[in-house]
Amino acid sequence: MTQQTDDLLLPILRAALDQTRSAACITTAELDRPGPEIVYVNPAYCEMIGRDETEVLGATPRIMQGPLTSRAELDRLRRDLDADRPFIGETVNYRRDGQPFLISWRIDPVQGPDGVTTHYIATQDDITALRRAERLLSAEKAVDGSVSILLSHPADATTNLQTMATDIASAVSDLVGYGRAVVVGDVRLGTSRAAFAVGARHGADEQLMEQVRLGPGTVQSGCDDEGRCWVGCALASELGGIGGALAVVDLDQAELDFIDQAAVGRVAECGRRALSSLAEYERQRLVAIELQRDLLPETDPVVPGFDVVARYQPGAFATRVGGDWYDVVRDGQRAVLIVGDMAGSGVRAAADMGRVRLLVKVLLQQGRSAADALALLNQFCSEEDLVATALAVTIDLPTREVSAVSAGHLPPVISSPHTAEIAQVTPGPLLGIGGSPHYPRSTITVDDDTTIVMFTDGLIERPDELIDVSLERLAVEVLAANSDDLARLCDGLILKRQANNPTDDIAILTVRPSHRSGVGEGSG
Amino acid sequence: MASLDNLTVTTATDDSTLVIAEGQIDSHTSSLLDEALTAVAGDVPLSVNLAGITFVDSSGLRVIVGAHKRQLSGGGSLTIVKPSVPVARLLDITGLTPELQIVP
Repeated sequence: MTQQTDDLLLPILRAALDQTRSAACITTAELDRPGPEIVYVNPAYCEMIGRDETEVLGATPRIMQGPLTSRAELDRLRRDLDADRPFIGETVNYRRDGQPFLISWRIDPVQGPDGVTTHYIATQDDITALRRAERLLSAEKAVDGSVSILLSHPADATTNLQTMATDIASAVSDLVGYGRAVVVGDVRLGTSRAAFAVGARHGADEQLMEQVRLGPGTVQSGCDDEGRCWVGCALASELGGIGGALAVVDLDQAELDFIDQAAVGRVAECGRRALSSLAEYERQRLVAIELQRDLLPETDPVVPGFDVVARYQPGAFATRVGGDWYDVVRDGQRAVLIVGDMAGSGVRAAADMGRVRLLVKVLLQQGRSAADALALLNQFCSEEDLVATALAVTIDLPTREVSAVSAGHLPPVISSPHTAEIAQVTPGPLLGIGGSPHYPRSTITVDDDTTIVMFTDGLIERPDELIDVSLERLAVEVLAANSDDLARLCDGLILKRQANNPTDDIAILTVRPSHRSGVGEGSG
Repeated sequence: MASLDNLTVTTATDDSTLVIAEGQIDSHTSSLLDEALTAVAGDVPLSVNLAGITFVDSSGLRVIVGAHKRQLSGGGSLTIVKPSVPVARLLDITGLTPELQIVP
């Protein structure tokens, strides 16, 4: 450029810099204390920092810094400028009235004709609103995502709530960026109650939680005498009796001033919805369990000359509750033991199970054979669009002859003190297939030491294992239990299964000749 | 092709309809297969390839039985093609092997 064009251009450059809406500031290149001196600021810059040009000119940009200004960013800035490199960064700056705001700023060295840096030019944007919107969106997405995952792959109620509480705390932690996010609370659902506390600390935290808990759902904040501050919000849900609070603790005053408290409230609202969904889910699960239990026999059935013990264990998932059943029907000189599994889940499956259980009981009480009863049950299920499996074991009481008929159900385990094996039962098709299938009768050889273990697939099924392997494993477990006590055997099998995170319902029905009573002694 | 959790369902229609399911059919995923089989239900021969199925639970059986009944009542048919070992064993135990058309 020639001197002449420079002279023409200079006023234009000055006017352009003055009038651009990008905040710009030019300083000297003095990096050591007292630091660079501001030689030019444009009106946009003054507006951003809330100061007049007159009080800024001759001062150092450090007057904009404050407690939350990132030391690491400043160190990086110094390194870049020392090396004559341009710098881009983000940190907290302060307006004259002390109000913090987040800037994204760029500093470029300005070099003279000799290549020596004489000044720096900084341009900056206030990105407080942008970053807050991004963080809020991301926190809300995290909470919504977490509840979706929990509802599609739920665990038990306590674990669900604790996971949700942890995820809410983690989302708020990321949102706020300071202090420590905590979620405390408890939930009461039917007869079960779970308390959860994530990151909670005794003492001061509990007091502030109490304040938050009493609050009307609006975001509150406060500081104690030692300058420790908190911001929080009630996390109560109208549904399911969840009480609780979300708070960010261990803050200092500067951090409290900078935190987007409205966003904390928004995420709390999001968390409240998530907890409500989980509570509703649990409520439905408990209704299904209650109905299921109502529809099963209340006490262990009595069969003269035999010990009979039954167990029902609901699945951990609402999607897996309901549908398993057991029953014992006495009719003249025979007893028919039944274990069944209604496909489907929840309240509907429990209700369908109630109908099917009653129907097969009536059919047997009318004197029909187990095979005939299952054939009629298949017709009923086919008409009603139900699908179920069932195993009926018939004991002729005077002779102690045992036979089994299966409608697509897993065969029983037959065990004596030294052996345990899967009974050979030829299955007829599961109930609901339609047509007029035949249900074959298979004889089971038993003696006075024989225990018959009938069960539903919830006791053995594993997605990663062939069903035959699962059956063999159960036979081994029954043999290993070698228990005289059928209740202990049942409880032991369920306990063993629970160690492997079962998800499905489990029904078990065990029978064996009573040791104290002889053959034919029982009255009919 | 539709995917849900561990299950992928692909439908191809030509002279007959072929639905290929791969993965696990359980209470989380069975609805996906049910939707695919319901969408192509009718008086056509319907084949379901289950070679890539590693696990089926009772909700999966329900879907298969439902499709079988639907096809029969609609004048069509359902053929299970190449059931994997876990599927074949489950069909045996549930007494479905003689009831369904199965092409190994």
